[in-house]
Amino acid sequence: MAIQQVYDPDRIKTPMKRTNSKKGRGIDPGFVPITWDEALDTIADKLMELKNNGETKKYMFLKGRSTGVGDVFYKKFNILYGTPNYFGHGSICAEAEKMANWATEGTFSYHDYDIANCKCYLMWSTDPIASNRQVSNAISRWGSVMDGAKIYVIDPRLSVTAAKADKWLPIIPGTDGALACAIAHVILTKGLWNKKFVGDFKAGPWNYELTDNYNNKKNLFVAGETVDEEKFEYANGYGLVRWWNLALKDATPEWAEEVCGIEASTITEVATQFGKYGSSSISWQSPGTNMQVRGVYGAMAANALNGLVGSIETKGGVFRAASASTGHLPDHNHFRDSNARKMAKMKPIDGRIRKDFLAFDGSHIHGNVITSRIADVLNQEAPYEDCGYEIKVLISCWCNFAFSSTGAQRWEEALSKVPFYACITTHPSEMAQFADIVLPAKHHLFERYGYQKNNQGLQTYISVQQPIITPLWDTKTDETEIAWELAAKLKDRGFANIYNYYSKAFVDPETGNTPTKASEFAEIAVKILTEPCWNGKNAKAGQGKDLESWRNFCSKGLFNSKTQGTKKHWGKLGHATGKFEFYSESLKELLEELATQYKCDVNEIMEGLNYQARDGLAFVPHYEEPVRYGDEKTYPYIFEEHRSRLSREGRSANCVGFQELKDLDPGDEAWDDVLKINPSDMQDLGLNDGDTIEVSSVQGTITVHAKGWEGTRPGVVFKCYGQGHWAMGHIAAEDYENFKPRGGNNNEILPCDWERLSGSTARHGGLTRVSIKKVND
Amino acid sequence: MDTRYIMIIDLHKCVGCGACTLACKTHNEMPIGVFPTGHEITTTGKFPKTKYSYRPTMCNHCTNAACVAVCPTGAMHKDEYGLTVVDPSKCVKCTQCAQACPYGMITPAPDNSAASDATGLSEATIKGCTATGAELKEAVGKAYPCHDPILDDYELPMITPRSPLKCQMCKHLVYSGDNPYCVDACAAGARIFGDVENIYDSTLYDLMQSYKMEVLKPEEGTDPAVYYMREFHKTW
Repeated sequence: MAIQQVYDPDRIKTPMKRTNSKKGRGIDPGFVPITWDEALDTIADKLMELKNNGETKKYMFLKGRSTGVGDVFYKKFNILYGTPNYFGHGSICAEAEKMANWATEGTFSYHDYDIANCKCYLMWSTDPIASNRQVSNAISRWGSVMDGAKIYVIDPRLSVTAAKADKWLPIIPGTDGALACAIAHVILTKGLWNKKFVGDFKAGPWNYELTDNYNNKKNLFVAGETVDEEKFEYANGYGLVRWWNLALKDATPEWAEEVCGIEASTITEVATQFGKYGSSSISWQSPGTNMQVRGVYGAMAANALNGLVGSIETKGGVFRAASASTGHLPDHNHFRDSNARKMAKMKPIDGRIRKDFLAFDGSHIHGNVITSRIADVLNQEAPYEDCGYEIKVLISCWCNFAFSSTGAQRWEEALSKVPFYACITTHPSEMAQFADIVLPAKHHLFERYGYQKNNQGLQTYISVQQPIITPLWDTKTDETEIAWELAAKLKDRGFANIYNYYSKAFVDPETGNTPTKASEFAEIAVKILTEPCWNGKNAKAGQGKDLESWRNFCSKGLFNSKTQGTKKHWGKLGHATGKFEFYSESLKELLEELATQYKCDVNEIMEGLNYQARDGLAFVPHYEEPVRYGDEKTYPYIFEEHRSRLSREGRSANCVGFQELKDLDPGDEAWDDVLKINPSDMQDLGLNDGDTIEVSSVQGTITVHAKGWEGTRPGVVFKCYGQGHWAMGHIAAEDYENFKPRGGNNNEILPCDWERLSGSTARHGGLTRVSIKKVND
Repeated sequence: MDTRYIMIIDLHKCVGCGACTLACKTHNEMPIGVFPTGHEITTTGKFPKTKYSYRPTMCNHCTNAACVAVCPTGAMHKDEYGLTVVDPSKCVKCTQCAQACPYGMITPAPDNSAASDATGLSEATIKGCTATGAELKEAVGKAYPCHDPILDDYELPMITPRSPLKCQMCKHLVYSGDNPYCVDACAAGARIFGDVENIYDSTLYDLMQSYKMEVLKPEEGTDPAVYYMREFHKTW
């Protein structure tokens, strides 16, 4: 698909400027081609105007996907220029999953999985052979996985992974926490938890009564009964008894069946198998279960199952990414002026510093950007209530929040209001429609230097991206070359700090040369950051020895770390206790800190965060009722979305291959965008396949086609994310010239809301209800 | 024994990703809507006992090929290795092969060159700022922008406008001892190709012995060279 992207005739081939000052959807921007000089001069003038007025904070930078050298522009340029307002896409990604892993296990990151050795999988809406972080790896191993392991897929939708599983558990969206707690309940009452990892009941008078459950010790985890904490002795676990008492003792399979629509007998069977395979079992999460308004506690429960069976860093279990060193960008402090230092301390505009957001980033409260909230702030009257000033200049790089953020309409309105906006992109995009200047970027896979760091199969790999074809058009590397050229323009206008930093502090680790032009700078930046992978002389022990030179690294294209070892973090797991926290002292610390900051108690904080838990329940994994927008009477159907196996970095919809193979997403149709509806609901609605329907929520209405499909339960309708582009090109749009999308964008019916512990955008768990109305074509 | 090329598709390993379809199209420069290797998708059963299955499809390179039997000129013929291939110079575009194929895996010869998806755009989407098909063609220097340089070294079996479009088992690769493109593109390793009569490599023979093999429409008596083993679903 990437080949079709790079050779897409709709790629922007030259910088362009807007000639129509009116902005809005359906208004032709009147783009005309201009030179790079004119484009960069215009942007530099705008930046200097702010600089000369002492208001550099009124400049904002937004970033979507990036490579390892992203910080050259994203951080360094913006820090040296002097703004606190540079924001990534992180919180519309899956920060809630990281939050849950941190609260239980002390790692603010996604897991890696020992696919080769796992014997039992619980997949929480996870679809690794279609869309996840290691699709190719999973695909290449899946035949063996199916041969050697039990696979249970919990997903409201019949995904391809579910289709190939031992059992599909079509859960009611947003009730994952109830199922996870019931599974934990069964594991505990059946005595199947991993005593070596978690701990066990102490020997004592309560054990005189012999049972057959485990080593003739009596299992005090009996449904409905409170357990005395003193009777349990912990190994690497912490707070299991408190978790039981607060959230599990009544979480029977029968209770969960009522909540989540999965039969109690199935829950018992799955839990028993999961417990039986113990430390070779994996509870594998995906955004489907955690990117929910109340998603973190369910996600904590899902990860706590790994803790219960002791599959943390064991053969066949879950792992943290293996370490692989990369270098650091040169220190910028010498080049930072007093204005830049002052501005860094200003309140950022995303409004994250609030009582009703914890927005934890793994290190700091209010450390995580609340990406999607930026639109709401931009829509306030200037100066914005949240920060006391307004944004006058915006540069965005490889993001399309006017399409990819929930409540997409908010972004359209917001972008119309920004006085000057420059957009860096490969293709036309919804966001670019609002730009004053559009700068064309090189394609990340084929036309430029960059690198990616990722992990799979218990190894971390660093792959170098390099120019392997001559760029087709007059494009530049977004993260390095454009930053360099813009820095040079600022230097011409009397502000040389950024250019001096780029041209003096960046030293080629092989030759000792400093860059003299953009293309050299682009390569040197990647060389500096990947040096530990290929420079045998300077590399840390065990890393990069066999690659020896930059050329050698480029020719191999890849560096693989050592395989991650087992039990590596045992003894230093949970942040607060060093153990696996079934009762999260770590989360408790954070919530108490936020309460102290706002002079209230934790219960008041929990209310602001839109969680139902009060008192001790706030510190343990548990079930929370899902938040659903729209009343059931007006909006009878629960709407849920999923990812396409064809989407590659969100830039595939204008590829012919994406459209003509769209039926590869189970239930979907080629060249179409269908709402998948259970046939019984189709009948109730009087619908036939292919009927045009309006799907409406409290957020908005989209027009798509109806498709009867048995892969979703009655009452729950599904649509794949990715169609509905009205400005991405002539393939993605049904009629580009007239702004007519092919199908509808899910984000125009999904309202904007957050998981507020992490600041994550919430989009799953049946966030909204919808009504469905047949319309005449 | 003579060489007999066969393809075994392991449905257990197949994940239905369509990489074979896309890779084939790219490598063989197929136009929109033409799939030398495609797929059949079936969804059966009622919620929650729903079953979804996927089966890659392609020319079966039948021993008793109906398309060869009806071809009036010998353009469609069996090669010495059992593959069903086309000699475009003999094709008279009568379309009988396409009608005769019981599997629907032949697309009649199109009027224009196959290589026209991206380069067919007559007006730029944003005038002066994005490309027309002609500009793209000029910039890349190839009629088909995704042109695979491997093809430069071979006779191009499917890219001539005169020949019907069908899988020719990438004969331009196979004749040199390489795999068909779809085989290498399959990340799941679900496509196994080779000479079943090869006495030095018994991979295919062994599979034929170890697993039950299925062919499509056996009632047609076509004796396909494409076999399916195991199920898309987990069997246990």
